[in-house]
Amino acid sequence: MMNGKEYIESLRKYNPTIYFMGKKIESAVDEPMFFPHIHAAAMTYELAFDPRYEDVMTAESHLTGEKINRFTHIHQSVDDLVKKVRMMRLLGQKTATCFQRCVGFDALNALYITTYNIDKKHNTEYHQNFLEFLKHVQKNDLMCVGSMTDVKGDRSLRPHQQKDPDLYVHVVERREDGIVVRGAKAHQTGAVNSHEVIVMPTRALGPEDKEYAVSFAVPIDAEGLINIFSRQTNDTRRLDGDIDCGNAKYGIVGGETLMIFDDVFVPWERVFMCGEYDFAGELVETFATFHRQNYGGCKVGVADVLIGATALLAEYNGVAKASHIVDKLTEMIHLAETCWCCSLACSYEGYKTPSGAYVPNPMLANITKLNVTRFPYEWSRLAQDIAGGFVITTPSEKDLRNPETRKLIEKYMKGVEGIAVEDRLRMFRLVENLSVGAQLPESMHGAGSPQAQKIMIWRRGNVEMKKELAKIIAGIKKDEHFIKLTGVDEEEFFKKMR
Amino acid sequence: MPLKVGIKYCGGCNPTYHREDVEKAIRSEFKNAIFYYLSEKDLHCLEMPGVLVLINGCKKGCVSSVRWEENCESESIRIFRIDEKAELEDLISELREILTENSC
Repeated sequence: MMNGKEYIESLRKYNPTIYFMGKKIESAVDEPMFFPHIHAAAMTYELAFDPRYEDVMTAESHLTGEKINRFTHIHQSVDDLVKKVRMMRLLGQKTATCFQRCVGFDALNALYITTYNIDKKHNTEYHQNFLEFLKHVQKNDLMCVGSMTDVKGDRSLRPHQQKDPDLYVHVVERREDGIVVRGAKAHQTGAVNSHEVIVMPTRALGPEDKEYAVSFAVPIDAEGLINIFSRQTNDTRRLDGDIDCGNAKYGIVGGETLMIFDDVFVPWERVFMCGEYDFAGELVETFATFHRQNYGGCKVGVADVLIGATALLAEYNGVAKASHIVDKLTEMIHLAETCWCCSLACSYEGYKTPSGAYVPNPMLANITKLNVTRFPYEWSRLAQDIAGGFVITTPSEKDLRNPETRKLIEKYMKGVEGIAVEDRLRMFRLVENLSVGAQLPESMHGAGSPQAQKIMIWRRGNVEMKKELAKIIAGIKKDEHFIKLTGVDEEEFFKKMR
Repeated sequence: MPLKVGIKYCGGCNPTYHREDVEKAIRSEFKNAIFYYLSEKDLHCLEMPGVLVLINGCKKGCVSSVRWEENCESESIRIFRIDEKAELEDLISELREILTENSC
């Protein structure tokens, strides 16, 4: 295993092609705009060495028996699924942002299950390919980008119907030694500071979309792989000191890229699906289940920090004892813990798949994520309500550092006695970071937009069974137990009462 | 000798399908078999030869086949587990095979 510092240094061995703000980034590790994202990911490595956290941060590899970072583990039990979400909450608390490494973790677990199923049906050797890749990831403690969302073009058209065939990643050439792929993936969290990229299809596919049914892994610096790093709200504040960002150490959200595969070659031993369109939907659903499981962990960890920051601001403002403030903070806790309940529930209701690996309950994982598309908006609204307007009107760090304005800010930005003005400013900025910026749309769209969850919830909602239950209770259909309770059937029982 | 089929249901808290359909299908397929229900207390005294069908309402699979296998004293008991309706067809054909073995 690597610790945090070793992870950061390990990135120097790679030379990925990255563009940002009109220039090519020569070294991701040395780019100040990437620092917070790299630090957040490094926390997933560092905590594995802390005896206070190693129980959730590490696991025993079922392949080698070695102690590994849990982010490279394949879940072998319900306990593993539960420890996964405990790890997510812990890391949310320690970074107050997205630590990025869960996407690749979920891709590993989804592919473990699906490659096994593909081989069983099609007599292929994808699972063996995948196992070799997994051993490589576990042994070297690598961080992988889980690369699913295609850019999609016209959403009303299937991949093969698009005017430009490259709007979904697809195979453009099959060679004796491998395949060549072209296309692009959007919102690639943690890409600039990952070691490997794991690509999966983005949707269920039909026979006409066979060339789009492709899954593989390549190093982040594979030839033809280009990352264009995305902008975020207030992103350049991180170049202006350590207060205005709110969370200067770990940033905000994950740091995403538009990832382009410009005829990237993939050797056969790194291919995990190639043409088996009948398993594209299963892979997407399995990955989505794992990824949606997380959100009541990581986002609740972040909410823990926001609740703490909001409670502190209430103290700094002198309103901590007001009953409506206590009520609103209680509501924030209730919303956060509800999401936590969901993550725990889908994990405890998880089950073993034919591959031997465990998967969370898909219905409950989707419920988890759908709640996270809503509740963070409400707990953020409450945080802004309690904190007050200074969340968005606080003077800058530069003005606080300027002797001419510092004394004015210190006089007029003062709250209760005994609290330094700079501390109050820092807390306003943290609440701004956690409740105004990119965290919210990330809660909405990360791991799939709300409608994606609703489709899966409706499909698994078993409404027909619920209709049957209603018919029995309403007396339309016979209740087999009622006669046992009363000794007579329903008709006879109620005849007496008419 | 008619085939003896023991049936063990999970608790049925939130099944994803009508578990009773499995029993109904097995009963109609194997009309000459003798059916009986098992409960947890039978876990340690399974001596009756034949087949045991564990019917779970969802993939959580609360009635674990491993648990019943570990406690199964008789090697002549074959244990089958079903967690979703899609598995019913396979279950029936596996049971048919046993029936054929038995009649040989």
